[in-house]
Amino acid sequence: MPIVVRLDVMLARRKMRSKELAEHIGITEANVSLLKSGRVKGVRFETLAQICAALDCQPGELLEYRPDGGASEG
Amino acid sequence: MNAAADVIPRVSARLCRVAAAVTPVAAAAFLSFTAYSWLMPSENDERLRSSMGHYLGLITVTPLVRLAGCGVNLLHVAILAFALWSARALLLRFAAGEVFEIETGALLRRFGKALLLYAALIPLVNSATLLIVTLANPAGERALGFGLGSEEITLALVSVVILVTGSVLADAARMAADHRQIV
Repeated sequence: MPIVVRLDVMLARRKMRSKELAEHIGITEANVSLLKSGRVKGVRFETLAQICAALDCQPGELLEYRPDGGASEG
Repeated sequence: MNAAADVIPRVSARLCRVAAAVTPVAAAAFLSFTAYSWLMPSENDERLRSSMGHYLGLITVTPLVRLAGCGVNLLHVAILAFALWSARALLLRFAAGEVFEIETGALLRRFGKALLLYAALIPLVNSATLLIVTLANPAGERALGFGLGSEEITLALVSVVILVTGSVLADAARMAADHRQIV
């Protein structure tokens, strides 16, 4: 998958734990973990907006396009 | 993914387990009865004659006729046994709570396919059986017939419904699994 999720980088920058983010945006910690590892097929705009609001960032800072792949990074 | 593991009520799970235990017994009974009615001597000949209806009196039952008739009919009943075996696998999955799963839909589709094949072959097997039991007759007294009854048509229609339901269930489960991967 050429889309790399950089959620862990942003969580580290904001010094926030996955559990806190999950509670903040109302999804399970397991789903946050799946999102962090890039093992999901998609992200709802609603979830993305909540993550951006919680981490005070833009969608472009969370997602990166790499034509050569790199599934599990981020 | 076992999404529905705790959804099925305990009574339904028990019913499914009981039905799953009955299906192989039913399959074995169908196969045994078919083999018995063809291979066992004289006491079954009268039943064989009466099942052939209008051709009463034309039938010549020789050992070879018994063997050929048994082979054709056993093959046909084996399809029904396979359908029942698929039903058993399906019921066991239901009992385990795996109701809305891709595999469950695939098993239901397989059950429908096997049942449809069984229903579609009934007229052909009947024709073949009639030919087999009159094959030892003198020339001019052999018979070949073809009949299509409402029971076969009903069974075929029910099989198609099961087949389509299985396909829809598998597709719906696939879509649900896909949906679960979107956070």
